[in-house]
Order: sequence, then C-alpha cells, then structure tokens
Amino acid sequence: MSSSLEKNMLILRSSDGEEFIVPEVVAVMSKAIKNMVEDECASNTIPVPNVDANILAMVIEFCKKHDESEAEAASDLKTFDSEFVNRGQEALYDLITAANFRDVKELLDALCQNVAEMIKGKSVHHIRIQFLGYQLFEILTSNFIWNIWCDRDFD
Amino acid sequence: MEEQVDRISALPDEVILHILSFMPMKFAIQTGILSNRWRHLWKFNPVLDFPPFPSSSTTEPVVDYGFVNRCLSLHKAPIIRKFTIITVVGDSTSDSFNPDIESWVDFAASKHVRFLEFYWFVKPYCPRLFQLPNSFYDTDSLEQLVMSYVDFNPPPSPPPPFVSLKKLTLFRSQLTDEALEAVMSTCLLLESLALHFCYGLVNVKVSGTALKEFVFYRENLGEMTTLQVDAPNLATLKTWRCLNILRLNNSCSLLGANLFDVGNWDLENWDLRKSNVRILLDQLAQVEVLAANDWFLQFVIEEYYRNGKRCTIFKNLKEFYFMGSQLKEEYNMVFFFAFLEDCPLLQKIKIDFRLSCWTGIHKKLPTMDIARYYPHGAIEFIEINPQAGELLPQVSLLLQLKSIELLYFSGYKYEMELVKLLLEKTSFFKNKCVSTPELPLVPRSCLSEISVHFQKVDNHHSLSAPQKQPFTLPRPTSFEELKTPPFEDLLKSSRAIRSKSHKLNGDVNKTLGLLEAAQSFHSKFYVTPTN
Repeated sequence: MSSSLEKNMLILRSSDGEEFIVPEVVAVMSKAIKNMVEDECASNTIPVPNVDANILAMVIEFCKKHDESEAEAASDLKTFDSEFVNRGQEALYDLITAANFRDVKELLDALCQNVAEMIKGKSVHHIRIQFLGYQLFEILTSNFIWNIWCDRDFD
Repeated sequence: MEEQVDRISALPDEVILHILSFMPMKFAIQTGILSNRWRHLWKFNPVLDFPPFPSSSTTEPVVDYGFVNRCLSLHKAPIIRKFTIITVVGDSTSDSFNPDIESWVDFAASKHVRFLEFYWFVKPYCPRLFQLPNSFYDTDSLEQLVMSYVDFNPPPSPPPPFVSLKKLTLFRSQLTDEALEAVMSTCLLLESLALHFCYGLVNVKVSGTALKEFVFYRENLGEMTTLQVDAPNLATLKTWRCLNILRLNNSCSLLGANLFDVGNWDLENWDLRKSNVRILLDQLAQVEVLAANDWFLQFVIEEYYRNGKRCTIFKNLKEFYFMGSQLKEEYNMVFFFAFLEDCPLLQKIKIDFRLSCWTGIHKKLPTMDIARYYPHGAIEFIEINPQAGELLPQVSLLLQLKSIELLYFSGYKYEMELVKLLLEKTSFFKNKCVSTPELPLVPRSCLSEISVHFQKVDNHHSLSAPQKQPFTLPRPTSFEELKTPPFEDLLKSSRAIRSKSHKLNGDVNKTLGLLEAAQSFHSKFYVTPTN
C-alpha cells in the first residue's frame, strides 16, 4: 500500500445508486480505484458501474478483512477466504466479474481457485450440467469432439 | 425454477484462463470438450502443471511421456508463467522411459517461463545426471528453478546465468565450487538457495545480500571441508550434517535455524565438535525458531545442566521443534524441560516421537516416577493456590506457551509423562494437536485411551481458548462423565490457573458473555480470541 496516501475516506457508488463509505486504504486494494486515486482524477465519490450494492458490499467486506489482518496469521486469513468464496454460482460469477473489472487481485485469485477446485476431477457430464447449464437432452444428442485425454463416462 | 444460464462461459478469456491456471494440466485439457467456447482455451493456459505420473508398479515404472510431448506441441501461449513436471525416470540403462528432457527445457526457455520445476526421481535409484543445454543458462526470465539429477554447470563465458533468478533448488545434482560461485556472483536477486544432497562441492562459500533462505543437506561426509555462510540478510538456515564445518558470518538477521545432524555423537572428537557448536549456538542466540535433533539435547546437557549451569542462550526463542530418541531416557526429559523453561518467550513446541517409537524393539518402557528426577525446588514448578488468592507471577515459566504439537505420539509411558508435565506447566492453549502414527508398531489400546483424554481436554480448553470451529458447549454433566481419575486433578489445577489469569486480565466477563451468546445462537458461531 502506498504510504503517500492519507488514511481518509472514499465513497463508492454502486450501479444501483447505493453509496458505501470506505477507508481509502481498503478501496485502493482495487487496482482500478488505486489508479484513479493516484492520478487524482477521483472526486470524493467514485462510481462503480456494473457492480450492484449486494456484490459491492461483499467485495468491501473481503478487502477490509485483508487490510486489517495483514499482521494476522495466514491460516486465519485462509479460513476466511475459503468461507468467503463458498457461495452460490450466481454470486460467485458476479463476484468474479467485479473482481476482474475492478482488478482486485487477491479476491480474483481466491475466487478462481475456488472455481478450479469445483471443476477439477469432475466428469465432463457433471461440469456441463452444473456449470454450463446444459440439459441432459443436449448432452445425449450433441456430437462432441473426442479427445484422448478426456474421460469417457458420458458416452 | 428458471433455466440456469451458462455464466462461467460468459466470463472473459483471461478470467477463464486464470481459473484453468489453478488446475493440473490434465483437468485443464479435459475442459476442452465442454463446448466450442472451451475447445482451444486450455492451449493458452499460462500454467503447465504435470503432477506426478502414475507408475504401474513400484519396481519398474513404465511412464508414457508422450502425453507431455503432445501437450507441449499443441500449446500456443506465447508466455508461460509456470511449468512443473514431477515424474519418475529410469536409469540410463533402460530406454523404455527416458524422458525427452532437452526438448522440455528448450520449450521452457522459448516460452519465457518464470517458474520451472523439473523434479524427477530416478528409479531404481542410481546416480544419474542429465545435461542441460548451454543456451538454457541464459534464460533471463527465469525466477524460480527447481531441478533434480542435473549436471549444473553454467558455461564460463558470458552471458551470465539466470540474471533474474530468485530461487534455486537442486536435488542430488552435481555442481562444482566454481559453478556455485558463478551463481552467487551473477544472480544478485537470489533470495533462496537450497542444495539437497548435491555432490562435487568441497569448499562452499555462500554469500549474497539478497539471500534470505539457505538450505544445505550434505551428501558425502568425506568430500566437503568447509561451509561458509556470509549473508547479512539471511533469515532461515537449514542444514543436515554440517555442524562441524559450518561457519557463520553476519548472522544478525537470522530468525529461524534448522540444525539436524546425525543422532548420536560418539565421544570421539567431542571437544573439537563442542567448540564449534558452542560458537554456532552463540551466533544463533537471537533466533525465534529452532529445530534440532538429539545432538542438541546431548550438547545442552553435557555443556550446561550436568555442570549445574542453565542454558539461557535462547532469549528470543518462540518455537522449538525437537525430534529424537533420547527423550526416552528418563533423566533426559527432565533436562529437556529445564531447557524449555530457560526459554522465556517460548510459544510453540513441536515434538516428534517418530525416532523413539521406530527404533529398538517394540516394548513399553517401564513406569517412570518423575518426582524422583524432578525434585521440587531444583527446577521450580509453578504452584498456585487460587483459594488463597495468590496471583500468578508476572513472568512465569512457559506462560507464553500457546501451542503444543506432538507428532507420532504412540502413548508410551514417557510420552504420557511428558504431556502431563506440559499440561501442568502451561496455562494458555490456543491449539493442541496430537498426531498419531500410522505404524503397525503402535499399541492400539493405548492409543484410544489417550485420544479420549485429549478430546476432553480440548473441549475444556476451547471454552477460553476459542478455535474456529462450530462452537458446541459441553454440558456440565458431560464433563462429569468424561472425567477420569488421572487427569482430573490436572484439569482442576489448569482450570484454576486459567480462570485466575482471566481475572487478572479482566477478560473473564467478556468470555462468559461470549459463551452465553454462543448458547443462544447455538448453530454456527465463532468465538474470536479475547486476548
């Protein structure tokens, strides 16, 4: 964290107009916001388009935790992370989009790791239904690329 | 219910690649048949991670490296962040599973890889060396390099090897003093250097201002004559069988030391060794983490406690890890305790019993009467009588101790006594962990007994030393049921000490409040530490 920044507050406005007051040190965990602040093109209120209040609140919760617990044990943070990312698919992808768009590296890493864990070791059939929203019918009728490395339990 | 939309495929490519980068290559490739969207994505995965190959049998593994080669030929990403292959290779006589290591190395160099790990085991074990192409040494993108069984020999002429290298780990490789010196002089960013059982070295001199971690496991006792470490910023030092050749200069920022040596020293050359060890330990006085095996106990006993002196070198020691078989001998344990108590800041103890339960014939040691060797007054116990309103002394022995970990605990009498002592002498626990060995040697009946005891103690302790687990409050009745005679007194006394100290800190009300809250929420409640 840049030491030149003062510990003042910023206001973040979500896409649906709700405003959150957060300390600047927390807000600049987002690279995108950090750049804005450093270039001094941020007025007091920073709009965060594409991210609604619900998701923004979660992102802020995550950033706050990571900012506070810099001195805390790494294992504690890990538990927090794994609990934090343990959400339904909808929230998960909204969070990923937000983290990617606002460039919050720690959050993006935690989320992507989680999705990878979910996909890893599952059969293709399973992934299609669970993640890609395929219907069973589509799976049975479509013609798939055969690949030597793929497992075979759906044919 | 509304139809599920394919949210994951709608994510931008770089995010999907980021997700893929957390998986081993096999799973990443499998996603290629999910749909057209995913078909080619894996080819741009910036992380190539090939986990250990399964081998068909332990004696003669047959490994098909064609998978790796096919995968590399299809891969299209211009830059690779990480490339890992952990595998088994044959000795030079068997052609059936010789990997195409040169082409892997070339591939890595051409893709500007930053983190390269080629960790292969030669099976059956024989000293075998793989040559690296000269062009590989000037890969300037490389930051971390892990390799095994290579002839590490950077060409003498410029360009200098690995300018941006930060971490170098070599297993069972050959390198010369000159090669190591070349690395030390050109890799100015090198932070971590680990040489595991490497040979060809005679006079090793390790230096560097950036160096933070140094690991040296000595392979051949005969060849090496000196090991000099001169790194002002070195924080961690780990060695194996280097005690009598290790010389430290500038050890002021050292925080952790891991000094293992052969278990039992013979008394031959004892004085010579002792003088070197004495210098070494004085240089390590400021460390916070120390790990050692039997030689350490032997040295401390011979040097200090037998002569009636206390070993007060380690004023800053916070974590102590001990592994060895000598604790088995009764008087040694007393000295071990004396040493622990002479480290006032000790927070964490880890004792590994694996050597003591592996060696020798499996038989239970005779019962041990600790009081005989631990006369009151000689080495003080803390004795607090809460009824009389006594206060805990300001600085008390082992008062800082928060965590005890016992590995390969098998329930021998002396192990039990050790645990008993530890519990008696500590007032706060954050966590306590007993790992039981999966050995056929273990007396099972004994095991179940000890785990029951510990369950109980854990429950009890979690009242005041919260852990991040769903919180269930033990009922008073269940406490009564759990009580067994040998630990009962112990529990009482440790509880008394704890409640006392809570009063001292003024935290007792807060804790009670939390407990009530936990009761009312009942389901999922995490208590945060009160201290």
